[in-house]
Amino acid sequence: MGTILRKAAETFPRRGMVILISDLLTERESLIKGLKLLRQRGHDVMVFHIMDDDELDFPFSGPTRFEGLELPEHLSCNPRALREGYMEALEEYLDEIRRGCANSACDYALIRTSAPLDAALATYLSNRLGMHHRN
Amino acid sequence: MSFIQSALTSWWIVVPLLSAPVIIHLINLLRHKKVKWAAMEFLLASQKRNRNYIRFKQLLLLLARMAALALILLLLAGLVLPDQWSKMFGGSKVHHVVLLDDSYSTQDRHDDGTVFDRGVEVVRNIVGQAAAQPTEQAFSLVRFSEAARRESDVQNNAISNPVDDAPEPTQPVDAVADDNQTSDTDASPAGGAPETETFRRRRVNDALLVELENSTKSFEPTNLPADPLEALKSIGHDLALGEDEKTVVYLVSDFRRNQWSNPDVLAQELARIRELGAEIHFVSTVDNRQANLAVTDLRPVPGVHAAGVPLEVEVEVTNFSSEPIRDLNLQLASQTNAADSRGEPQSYSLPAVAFDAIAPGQSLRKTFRVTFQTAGDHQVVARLDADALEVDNERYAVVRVLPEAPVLIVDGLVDSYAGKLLALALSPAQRVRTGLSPRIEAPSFLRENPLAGFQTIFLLNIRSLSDDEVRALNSYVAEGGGVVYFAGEDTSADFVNKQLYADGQGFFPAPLRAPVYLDTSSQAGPDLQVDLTHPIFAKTFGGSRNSFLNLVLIDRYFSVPAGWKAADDDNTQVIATVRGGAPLMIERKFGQGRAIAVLTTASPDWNNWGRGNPTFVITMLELQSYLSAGRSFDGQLAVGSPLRIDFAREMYDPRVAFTAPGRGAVRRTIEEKAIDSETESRLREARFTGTGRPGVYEALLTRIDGEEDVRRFAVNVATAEGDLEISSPSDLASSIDGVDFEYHRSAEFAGPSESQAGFNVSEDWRFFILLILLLIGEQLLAYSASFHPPLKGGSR
Repeated sequence: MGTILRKAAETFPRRGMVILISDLLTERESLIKGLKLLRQRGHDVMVFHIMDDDELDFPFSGPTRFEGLELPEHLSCNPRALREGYMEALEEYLDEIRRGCANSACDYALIRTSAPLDAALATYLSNRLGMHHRN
Repeated sequence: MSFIQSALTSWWIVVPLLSAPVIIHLINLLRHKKVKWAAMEFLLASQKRNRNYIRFKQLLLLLARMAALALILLLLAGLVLPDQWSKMFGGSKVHHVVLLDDSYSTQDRHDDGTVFDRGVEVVRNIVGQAAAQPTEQAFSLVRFSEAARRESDVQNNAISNPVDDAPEPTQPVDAVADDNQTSDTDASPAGGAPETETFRRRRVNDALLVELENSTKSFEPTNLPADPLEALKSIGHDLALGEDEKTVVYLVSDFRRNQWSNPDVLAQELARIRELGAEIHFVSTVDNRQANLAVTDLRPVPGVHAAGVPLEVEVEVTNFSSEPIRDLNLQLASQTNAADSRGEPQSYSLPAVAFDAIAPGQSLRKTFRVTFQTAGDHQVVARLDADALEVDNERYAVVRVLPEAPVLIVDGLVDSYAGKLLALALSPAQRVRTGLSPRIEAPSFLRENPLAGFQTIFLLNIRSLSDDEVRALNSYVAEGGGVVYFAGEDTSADFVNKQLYADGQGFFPAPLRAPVYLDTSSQAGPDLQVDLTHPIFAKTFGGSRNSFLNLVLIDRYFSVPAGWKAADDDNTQVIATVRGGAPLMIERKFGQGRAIAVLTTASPDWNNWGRGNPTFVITMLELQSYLSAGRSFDGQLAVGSPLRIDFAREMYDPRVAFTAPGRGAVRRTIEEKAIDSETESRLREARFTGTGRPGVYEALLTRIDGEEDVRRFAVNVATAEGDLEISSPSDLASSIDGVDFEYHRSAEFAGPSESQAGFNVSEDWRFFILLILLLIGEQLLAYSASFHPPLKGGSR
């Protein structure tokens, strides 16, 4: 993800608006660096963090085998036994993303896949417009 | 350590059961659903963080489940802990209580011996097996008869010895035969319960085994019809149970159906024993019912029992089997004893009584005639051929034959024709011997002499009697005597109504109004109409038309008040009427006796009955015979019943020698000292309790002048015990529904197993509490280990 953002900063030298829509399941440090680079180049950066409901709520029970989509690992477990640890790890991750965006002065919005994207964008843009008017 | 249900502890049950939680856990791991997952990073982080904790909880859960299953298995299998372990739980000693049926149905003989022998063998097995157990064992033996005797003693002491006037102890003083030949059963007090050494809470060891082996050699069944109730009652009362011991009760019996005739009471006792914490085992000593015939009754028909006069004896045979019996011959014999002598009796055979057929479960009665030429107590024995149960094949009766039977005729007129006519009717002539000895006396005789010796009293021409005379008559009837009152010219209705009837308080059957002439114009038919179903008329006149009765003409009779009717209490009945239905002969039961009022004259003054009509003599003889039944000597006792005699204290020595039948011809004499009668001050009472064997018993009284009187009594077995029908295990279970017991057949019962000899954890509620706690813990662990769905919905 960091490489992609760096390439985008180099590809678009003029100031503009960069909208990043992703699940952000990537290496956090390079992501934050990429976002900072975009900001240093004068881009207005908006991060739309898309996550599935299951990923946010982890509602599974019963013996389950989780097979990694982006990693080669798999895990057979009782998901209810791991849920508490999972949610803690997820919160830590989301906090880190939020903090990184804030430090980089990037707008950040976490959007559930269950929520309609247009409505989520409209809400976000409306909020953002309101903030500028107040400024 | 052992198990009651050891089959449940086989490896092919234990291993699969205990490994089930692990196998289910592994199967669940294989049966997981697959989910494609992007956020593996967080899952792996969580797993890395909690791996050890999760595995620990899963291991604990598996162990809890295996432990719960193991405990359920141990409880179902009935784990019995050995002594050293069971002490931790408060139980160590085992008390084996054997209740042994020794009622006379256990004399039932099979190929391998009697049913009682089988029961004794079961007792030996129980003690033998108990001795082989590693834990401390105790043993108690209660025989049915022993418990019944104890209960009977308690009741008798409560009734007869309320204070300190107990009789002196029994002392055998004069054994007329070799005592060594008699068994304990013969000499036992209170009827057949043997004086064997009792075993109460004895520690089971080798010494006890030897002692029991020796004692049981002399064990014999009794002749009593004892049931298990008293033996069951003794548990927890006479036989206290310890709190720190396990009690196993064995009911070793033939389980005859008649012993369980009152199952509710038995079930109550068994339930009580279960509540005391005892385990109950029924050990049946008989598998199949054998046929049995029994002589169930033998007694002289009430009437005149005088020397040289034929008397009737009634006998009953019962077929206690499932098949009809045909062409049966009952052997009869009699023994004659002189009235005042202990000399050797003379035996006579009597013609056998034939029974064509007796249906299963039915009884058949027959009467036969026998004449005893001498006065005295005579024995009659009825005997059947040998069968499975011998003791009820014989039955005894004692017939007290008098030289003559005295009858009192109280005549208000001196030397009246009526008195002579009646005396002639009762004792017609020397050649026609009735055995009766009529004696004509004036009314004053009633108050001046004892009346008890007279068979019957006839009252003629009585105008009035003094209060003492009326009182004597009332007492005589109330104590079993019979009175006949003839009306006549001298009869005063006022006297009869006030003194003899006394508003129903006296013996006289009905109030009188006045003498009337019979109206012969209004209705056709004979003047005298008798109730042909009544015993006085049934035997001679019943079932046939007797023209001589029709020839009786009644001219006058005493009427009863208009509207008078016999009471509905069955004590008063009209047994003969005149033409038109007015009462002529009225009977009343009064106390133990009866009175009959004949409302016309005995002499042919108001009728022509006594003038050459043969039915008059027959009716007077039958009347006398019927009324004397209340004073007939019975002399019948059941085995085990105490034999009581009373006698005038001024006439006899207080020592009474009782002679009891023994084995074979052996007889045994025991002396008892009489005590003052509680009911009558002039009498003494002697009591003999050793009536354990059926036969004829003698009581020898010595008069003050040195002469001896012998009184004889027949003692017979109770009849119901001869029914050998057995209760099946299902019958027993349904009759005592709700009481847990185990049923065994004696042939297959080897005694207590090791599993019954220790501390059975399945009988201790604490282990069930432990199981419940274990299951609750398992559920909490399972929830904690997230094996249960979340309390709120939303899981996938």
